[in-house]
Amino acid sequence: MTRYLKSCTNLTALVMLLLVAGVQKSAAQENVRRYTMEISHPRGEMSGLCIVRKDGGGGALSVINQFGIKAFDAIYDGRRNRMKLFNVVGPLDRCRIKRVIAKDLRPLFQVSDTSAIGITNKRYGINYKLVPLEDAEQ
Amino acid sequence: MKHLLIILFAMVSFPLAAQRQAGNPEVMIEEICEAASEIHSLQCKFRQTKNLSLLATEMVSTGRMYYKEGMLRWEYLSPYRYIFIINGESVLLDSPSGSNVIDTKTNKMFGSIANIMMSSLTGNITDTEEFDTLMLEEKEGWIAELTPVKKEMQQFFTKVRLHINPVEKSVEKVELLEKGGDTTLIEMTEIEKNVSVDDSVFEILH
Repeated sequence: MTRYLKSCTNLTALVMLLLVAGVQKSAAQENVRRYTMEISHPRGEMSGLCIVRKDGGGGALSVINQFGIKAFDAIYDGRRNRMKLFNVVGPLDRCRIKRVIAKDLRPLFQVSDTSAIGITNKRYGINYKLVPLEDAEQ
Repeated sequence: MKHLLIILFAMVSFPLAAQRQAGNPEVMIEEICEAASEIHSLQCKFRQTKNLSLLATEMVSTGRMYYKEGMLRWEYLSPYRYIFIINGESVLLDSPSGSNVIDTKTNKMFGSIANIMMSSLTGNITDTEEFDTLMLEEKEGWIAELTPVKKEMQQFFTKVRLHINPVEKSVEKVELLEKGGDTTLIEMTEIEKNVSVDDSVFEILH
């Protein structure tokens, strides 16, 4: 009898653990947003994808092109409202460019809804347009 | 301590032993290139999985590819629409927001990208101008590991691994490795070789 009860307890604990893991995984995936991204500036335009993960007040993002080639990664510190770029592809790896992009993309971590986002940097004439992707397979 | 070191050494050695340098790379390359030269057209579906290590997540996209006599159409269908066409010296980038036609004569980097894509997809791996080739053998098949030679390409990826079916001598998967640790895996399925592909598929309207 005691052994049976112990088995039931163990089984229940295992089921609970799996359920919690499943919920955590779902929650983790809910924190991830995927967008198509277009950046237009006086010298031209570029398009790609932006994947954003929010964790508490901060988070991280990656910008890649449609082929999956990385443009840059960034980490956002919500407490200090600061973002830092790294793993930046060659043509964008200039201090000034990184500073501008880091400042411009901070609002991505401040919006809470899932609609399209438009960001404008009037000083440099840069426009960012992000449209949410429907996650068919993610 | 001594036992711990032995165990650690074994753990490191085992994955390295799973892939080993090919015994006869020249023969393998010759067979692969011979098979590639017999491909006049190709069409398939593909599934692209981008691993984003910083975000601990993946980005999956799917589409179709068409190739015919030096022309390529790479089309993403889900979850975004994007078309990449190589036709002669012109490259088209087309998305819902607009199109861009690039002349590879004036834009050398795009010319290199186009060459590497064509070579990777068809298995023509003798282009020493664009990459160095190392042949590896593993249980599932052959791997041609291409390392970009040009600095402009090295900033985008450190290596390209072509997973080759040793019977068909054709590329079934392409793996792109980046310096930050991220990877992109492209898996090709429903591959049809030397089927009729209409030229209009590769048309670039200026």
